[in-house]
Amino acid sequence: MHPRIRSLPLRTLVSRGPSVRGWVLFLGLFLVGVAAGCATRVAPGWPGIAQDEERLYVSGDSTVVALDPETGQALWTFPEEGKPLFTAPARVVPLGGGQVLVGDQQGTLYSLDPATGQVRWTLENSEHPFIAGVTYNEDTLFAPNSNGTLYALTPDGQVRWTFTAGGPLWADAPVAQGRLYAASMDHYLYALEAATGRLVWKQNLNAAIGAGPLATEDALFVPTYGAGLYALAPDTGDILWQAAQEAWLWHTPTQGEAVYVGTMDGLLLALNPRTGETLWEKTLDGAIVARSTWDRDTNTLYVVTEGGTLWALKADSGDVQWSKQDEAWEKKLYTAPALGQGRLYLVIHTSPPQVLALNPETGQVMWTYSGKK
Amino acid sequence: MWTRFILQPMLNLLLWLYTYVGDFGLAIILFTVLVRLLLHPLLKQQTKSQEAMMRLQQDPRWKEIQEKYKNDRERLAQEQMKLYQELGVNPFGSCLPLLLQLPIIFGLYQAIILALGNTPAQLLELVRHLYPSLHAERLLPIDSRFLWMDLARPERLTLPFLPFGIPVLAILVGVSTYFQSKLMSQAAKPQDDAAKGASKKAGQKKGKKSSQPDQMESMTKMMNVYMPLFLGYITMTFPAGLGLYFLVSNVVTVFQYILLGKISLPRPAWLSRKPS
Repeated sequence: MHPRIRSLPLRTLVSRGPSVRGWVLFLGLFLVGVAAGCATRVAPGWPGIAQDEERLYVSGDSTVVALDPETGQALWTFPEEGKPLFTAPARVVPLGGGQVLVGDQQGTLYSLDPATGQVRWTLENSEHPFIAGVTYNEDTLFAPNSNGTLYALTPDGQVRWTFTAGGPLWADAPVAQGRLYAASMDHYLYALEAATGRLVWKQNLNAAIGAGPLATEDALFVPTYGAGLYALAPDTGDILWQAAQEAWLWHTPTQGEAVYVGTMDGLLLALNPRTGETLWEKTLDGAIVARSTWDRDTNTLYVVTEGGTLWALKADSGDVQWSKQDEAWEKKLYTAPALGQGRLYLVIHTSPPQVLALNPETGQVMWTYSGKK
Repeated sequence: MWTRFILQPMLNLLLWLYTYVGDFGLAIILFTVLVRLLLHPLLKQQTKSQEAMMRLQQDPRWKEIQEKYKNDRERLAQEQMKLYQELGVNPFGSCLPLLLQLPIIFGLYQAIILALGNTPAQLLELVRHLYPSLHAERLLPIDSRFLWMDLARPERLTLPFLPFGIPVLAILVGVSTYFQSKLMSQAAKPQDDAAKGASKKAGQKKGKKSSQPDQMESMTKMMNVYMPLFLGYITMTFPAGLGLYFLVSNVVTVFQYILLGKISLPRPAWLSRKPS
């Protein structure tokens, strides 16, 4: 620091020249403002959860953690050092002997050993974040990136082919009947040959698409930002129907006996998959950002809202079976609940993410993982 | 309060401009020009205050209290304040436009971060802050590219033959801030020189080497070096959209000073020539 400025009390400084006084105040307040601005920055991603028979994998903030599903004990965490911010949900895939795949904000895709959390390989082709989870077919991994490129990879991370859309790719790319569906923020849904990446058709939906389509034999259900839900013919891309027009949909629809989708206004809709007709609707206590989870055995739908509530609803009527609300969960529920081995897993968007295992029939907490060491 | 009165209007104005020009860089440039025009009356006030301050520093009473309380800084400051009040000079008058820029810079910083968020979590936050009349769905996807820059990320120009990126925008911001400060100092120079001359005479009489205007000048010089470095560093590390604001703001400020007659441009020779 300059020797003269060090010795000057503020009052004396104020009485000095106008330019110096102004700049010094400007500088000081600027630093305070920048610090405050940084403190209020929005976390770039929401947590993700994946599971296999032995472990749960939870990604979010700057860690991926493997948990014992019986007890909630952490088995390993990645990374042990460093601070990548994971913006894509972790996915566990059986290819290559089994691996956990997760992408970060700096555009690196990591392949981790499910047993140890050791890195097997990385893909660093982009400086843009990975937002979407990795999907796969028999021999290929599909990793869409927000730079607009979809990478088709061999199980050991070699690029097989790429496809570039006209805008960022935020959505998972589902594979069905040899076709891969890439939804882009450029308003288009692209149907590609999964083996080669050749474009089969594309359809303009007049709205950005940020979540992956639900691909079934009869239709593709595509959620959009501001234009509701579209059903398209898988062969041609023709529009079959459009529902909940003007709604902002942030998640892939859920398939059960109906197609379920929630809106930013907190409206949960059960739609007839053939016609788009509303079978029932229910207004919940906040925006529904995460995908709902359907339990086939009990025909129950588990839904989380920004209001901080986990709802268990009858999938055929929307009637409430039970609900669990916590003020601390407000604006913290952005991850689809996961069902497995007789438990319902709820991930809370904290830093690091918290995980609760609940009894799916009653909502009673079985164990909690706080993420703190 | 901050969100409702600063952040949201700025964010919506920025995105409204974007809907018209279809380029986020141009929207920032237009936004900056608008802001500078809005602040123009304050800039006028600032230059008036600067002149008043310069006049005050040539006042015999000012020099008298400098001399009288040279060893008691506390008392000196009190007496200076009294003199400000007596002569109706607001010591903060010249800082006001500078300080009023701060909420704009913070607001712009947050608006850029929000508007150019590149994940769903950031987009969700953006949508919450938009006025319904803006039709957020029509804005998407917001293209953050401008010339060679991605306005949502710190700027670097990468050239094929160089292993590193060059922070061109940071250099431009640093250089333009330096020249802007230089021009501002020169605009106030005649009065400065008078004050300096008078004070030097007073110092020589008392056998003193240094006086307050000398200190002031050296501090101004110091700030003229540190501020460009500081703003250059901020541009290097923050989203390029903020650096673009600094750069355009510097250029527009120089034009404003020219309009106010505080800086005179050299007259081209062909204009000065008398007709034969």
